Amino acid sequence: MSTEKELAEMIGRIEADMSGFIAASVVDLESGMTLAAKSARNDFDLTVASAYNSELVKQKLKIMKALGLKTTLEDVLLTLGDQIHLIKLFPGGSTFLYLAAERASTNLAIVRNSVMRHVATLS
Amino acid sequence: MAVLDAEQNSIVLRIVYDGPPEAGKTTSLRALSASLARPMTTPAEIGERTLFFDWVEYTGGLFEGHQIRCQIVSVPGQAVLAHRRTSLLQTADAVVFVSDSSPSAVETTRSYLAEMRTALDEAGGPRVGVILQANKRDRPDAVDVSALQAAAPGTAVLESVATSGTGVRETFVFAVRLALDRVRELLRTRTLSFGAPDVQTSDQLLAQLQHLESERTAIASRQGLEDSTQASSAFREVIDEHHSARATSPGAATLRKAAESDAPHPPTAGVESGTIWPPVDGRIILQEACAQNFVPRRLQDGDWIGEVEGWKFHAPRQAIFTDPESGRRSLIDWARLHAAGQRWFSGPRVVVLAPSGPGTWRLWQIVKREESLRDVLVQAIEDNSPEGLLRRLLQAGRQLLTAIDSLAFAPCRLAITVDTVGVTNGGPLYIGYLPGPFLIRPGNPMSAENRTTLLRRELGALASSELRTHPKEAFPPLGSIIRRSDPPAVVEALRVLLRDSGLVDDSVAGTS
Repeated sequence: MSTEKELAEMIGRIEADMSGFIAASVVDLESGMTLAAKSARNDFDLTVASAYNSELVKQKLKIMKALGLKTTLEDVLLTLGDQIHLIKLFPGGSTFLYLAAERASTNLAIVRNSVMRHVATLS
Repeated sequence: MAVLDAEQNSIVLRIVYDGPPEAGKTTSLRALSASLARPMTTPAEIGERTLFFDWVEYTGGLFEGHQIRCQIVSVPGQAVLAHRRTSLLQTADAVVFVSDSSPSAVETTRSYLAEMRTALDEAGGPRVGVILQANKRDRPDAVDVSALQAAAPGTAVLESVATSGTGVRETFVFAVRLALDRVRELLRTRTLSFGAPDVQTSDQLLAQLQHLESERTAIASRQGLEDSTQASSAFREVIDEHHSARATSPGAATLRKAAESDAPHPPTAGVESGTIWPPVDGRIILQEACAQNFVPRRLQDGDWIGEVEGWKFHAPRQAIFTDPESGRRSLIDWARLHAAGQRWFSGPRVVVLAPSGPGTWRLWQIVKREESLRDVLVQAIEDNSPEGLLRRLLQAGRQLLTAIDSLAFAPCRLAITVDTVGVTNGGPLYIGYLPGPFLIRPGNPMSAENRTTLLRRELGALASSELRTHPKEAFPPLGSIIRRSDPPAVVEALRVLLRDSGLVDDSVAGTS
């Protein structure tokens, strides 16, 4: 398991790698608790967002199970009117990275590419 | 402990940080507090030693659609506060057991783990998950994790360096997972509590613990148990470490200026927790001493005193407060003084802040009554011949002089008299009242001249009238009873006393 410091550094690298960064957290899927978090905006409640996104992931996993899909969930992309939200599950599936970015300043490809690259660096 | 608070749409969990003293429980909570950006509170902390618990509250995550509210609590590690540790452990939904990674700490870890498991087993209910947070992994002599795993079979082991925050948050999140497992089990067995939790703040938890302790003390008193003396010595130990902070005067505004004409209420064993020192056996002593009623008597200087069989009560005139918080601060200062001077002062002693009347509180010191030099000499006067009286006076002079020299190094200046010095097997001790918390002056060695004056005054006050009741022919020459080792100051004081009593010729006052 990576330490909080390693996770925070990874989030920092993602932030530095892209424009339009709003917030990101590494979340324990089971509890919805954040293992590391960083927000560039005071009005973005990352603790709440992380918790509810863990529910979202759990629901998606339930859907997959209900459909009998024998595969893994890699990521979840959400496009809002002015934001992009990306959920990237870590190997093992018990933890995920949640990231929110300004849609006007970046695009889905940049966000996804950055997240994939940096998540892969974690042990 | 887990409670489903439907009104707040939350599940309330308690994560308890346990472990041996100095393993890093408080440091872990401090690091967690910083990481979660939530304040940590530590009620009744003395010099960074946790006396009750450290507390952090954090709301985050979701469980079945309910917010997770975590009460994160660390226990006091000191063995003598084990009752508090046990009380807290028995409310845990998950335990983070913080252990020191040094080789010498492994055995202590093993022993504390065993105690923890006993406490958890006694609490009953679904299994409480335990994580061993192997702390201080940056130590050069840190033992292999497998050694710690062997000491804690069936326990998850996570590594940490709490001083830098490394590993602390992951451990906490893991503990929440374990706690949620327990909640599921509580749900399955239909034993999960519903409603608002009894404890929602650190103040409420403190009050709950204090209430539990009051009940325990009351039971112990009723049963005549005195198994809590260790607790007081631990409290003294904690206080001793921080004795550097000397007594300070409270703001004048906190003192009631108005003179009290009515006698204050004497203290009782029912005083609030946190207002008595030593905290546990102090209450037991109060229970004993206050079983006998007394009406405080006012001295000329305004102080109040009282006496019952075996115990003496004293309340300095300045030590009256209109708010209990100021009184509590002074109580701590005064307790520090009492604790710091244990080697010079007789014991046991109790300091208590008790309601004095409407809207006022007063500090009392309660001192076990001990035999003073005066008591010993009065006995000698009744029992002994003139020669015996002289021998006893010489002995009293020697003891008084030893007391003067010894008490010069006490943490405060003391009034040395034949009434305030008692003699035990270990030598003279101060048996009187300590100066009030606002009248403390540092002790200092007495000049030769002052020593002689004091000896003459005290010996004279004691025996000059008694000496006159005997004809001077009844006394042997002083020279025949003094020893070579007798301090000149004592011999001189006695000689002056005899001369002043009219026993002046060489047959008595001479040295030959």
